[in-house]
Amino acid sequence: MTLRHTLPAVLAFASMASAVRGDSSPAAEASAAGVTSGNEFGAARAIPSSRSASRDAPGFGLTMAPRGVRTAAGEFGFVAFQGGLTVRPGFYGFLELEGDEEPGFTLWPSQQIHFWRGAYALQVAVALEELGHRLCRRCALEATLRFRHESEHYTGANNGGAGIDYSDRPIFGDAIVVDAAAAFRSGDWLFLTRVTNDFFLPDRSSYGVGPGLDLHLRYTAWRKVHPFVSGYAEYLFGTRRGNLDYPDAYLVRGLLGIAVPNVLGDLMVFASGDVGHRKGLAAYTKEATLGFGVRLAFGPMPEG
Amino acid sequence: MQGDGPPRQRKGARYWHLGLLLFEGCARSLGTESPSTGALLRDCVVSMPAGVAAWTAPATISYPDGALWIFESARLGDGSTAPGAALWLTSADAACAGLADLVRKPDGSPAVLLTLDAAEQSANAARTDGRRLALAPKAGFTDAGRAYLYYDHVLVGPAPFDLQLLGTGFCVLETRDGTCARAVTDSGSTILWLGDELPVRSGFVDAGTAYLLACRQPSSLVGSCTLARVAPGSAGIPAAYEYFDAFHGWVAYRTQATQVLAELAGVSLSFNPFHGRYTVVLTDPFEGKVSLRLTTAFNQPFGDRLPLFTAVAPAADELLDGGAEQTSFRGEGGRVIHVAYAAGSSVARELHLASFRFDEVLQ
Repeated sequence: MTLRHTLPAVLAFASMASAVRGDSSPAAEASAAGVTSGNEFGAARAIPSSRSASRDAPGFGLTMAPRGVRTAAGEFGFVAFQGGLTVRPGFYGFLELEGDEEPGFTLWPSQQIHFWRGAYALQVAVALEELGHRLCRRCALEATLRFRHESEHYTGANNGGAGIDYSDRPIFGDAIVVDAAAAFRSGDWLFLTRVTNDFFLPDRSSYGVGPGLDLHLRYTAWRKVHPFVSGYAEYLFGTRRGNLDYPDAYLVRGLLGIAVPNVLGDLMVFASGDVGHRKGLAAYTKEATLGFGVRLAFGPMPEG
Repeated sequence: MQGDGPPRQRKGARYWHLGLLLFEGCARSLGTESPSTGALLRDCVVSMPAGVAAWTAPATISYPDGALWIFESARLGDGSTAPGAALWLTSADAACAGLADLVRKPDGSPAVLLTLDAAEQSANAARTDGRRLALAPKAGFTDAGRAYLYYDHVLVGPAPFDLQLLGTGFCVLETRDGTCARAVTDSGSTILWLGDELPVRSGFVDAGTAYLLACRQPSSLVGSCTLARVAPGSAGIPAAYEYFDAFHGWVAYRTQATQVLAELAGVSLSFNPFHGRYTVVLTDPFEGKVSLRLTTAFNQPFGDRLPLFTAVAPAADELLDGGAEQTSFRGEGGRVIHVAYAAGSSVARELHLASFRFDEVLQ
């Protein structure tokens, strides 16, 4: 692992350790400078993206059907600067392992790992509390800017055997990602929505732009269990990179299930359905799937 | 049709089935896509000339003014076989319009460009093991009006797909309707290279030198190609050949040749002026995918495989063969290329000619 890969994680943990010790932290310095400090280390956003039906949502997840997908992802805020708005610089890390087996149920899909995706991002989330409350008493607004890198890999032979030629597969690469999110509470219902767009860097990706839409609706009347539904749609416009013109890709995905709120966030148990392109090196395959999985989604939900 | 139980039970069973479906999960394929480098303009079937009932994948030789396709044999409408028959094509449009005809003798019968000599024919007639010697044209090039053809000596039979490669032969065709003069070694053999010493599968001339791709299949589903070069005038002399060795450049020792391609595919090597690169067109025999690899010089490795188009996909028990770019037919300075290949069942092969146009110059 290179320094480039480890530096954000080191920064994150250094920030956390500093906060735990209570010594001089960037947040404390900011406070001394007249800026109110909030969560020194923790939530990356006021409106979390971890409940999204996107495959890239930050959480620990295991999909057991139709194929095994294991996800280890997180999004953490280094610090929160609070004033009329809250600014949270943070870090996002993502690792996803997916099988390429015939569709079916696998309780513990540990052996069939073929496709790998890894991503990391540095980001700044700006929560617009005052503007949100001005719109309605129980509303929240937030915008996030991130610089994100994603790469795709696969499991090859450990014994030096022949590899698989994936040289024509799209490269997700580097993108500047902007999103705007809103949360609304009405009675016992909580609704989150997020509009996002990936601006891929020229010659650093097989795509040009990638707009997306995220919706999450949950019923919060019961303290221990929140039924929810999440929907996500993205469209990646292919572009020319090197010698190849890459095709567009899209994915529409939905989750239906229950969330068990806890101190870290939610434990989500859901049925999933999607239509569109697979991810990573399987991106040229289009399919429609039904399946189910579980996820530990990090981050508190916005208060009403 | 009535269900097996009362309505409430049937409804319950449906929920169970839905639950089991989610539990098991399912995925339905909606197709696959691929990146592109251009567009397939046409993929036509070349019509058989009058009097021809069946043919196999030919060796194709590109002349400046057309392409000569030389067959191991063609079956004629009267049930006879024309060994070493050939087809002359002046353009891709003519080939697709059904205007191609066999190369014929003055009396109108098919010309025999490559055939067994009298001794070989006698030996075949004397065999009692169900096998026979055949000459299978594979690849060639032209230079100064002459065509140079490499062919395999193969033992065919007794089963329909039994094939034993004995070696590689070479012949020179002074005129398109003449007989290809087979080179003979000092020991009197027409096998210049034994076994798979030099199974030439593609050749072209660049700056007065013929470059050849020799591709072997050392084991099932494995392909390995090496590069050789020779002055066209010396092509009938095995000792005149040089082989590309990544460490020492061009060497005289065939066994020092470096593998330049590990492709189990039809190969077609040439220089494409549109890209300003040497190109090898690859025709996947299993999936019908036609792709391209480039290099700036032969001492540089070929680049990644770039997709061109998907040919007519072979059926489960069939393969594509004979994939070869027809450099005679190139248009727009090499921006439009034409690739011939054979598809269909082994008893009724169809010869296709696909035309492809590149979007941009490839790097």
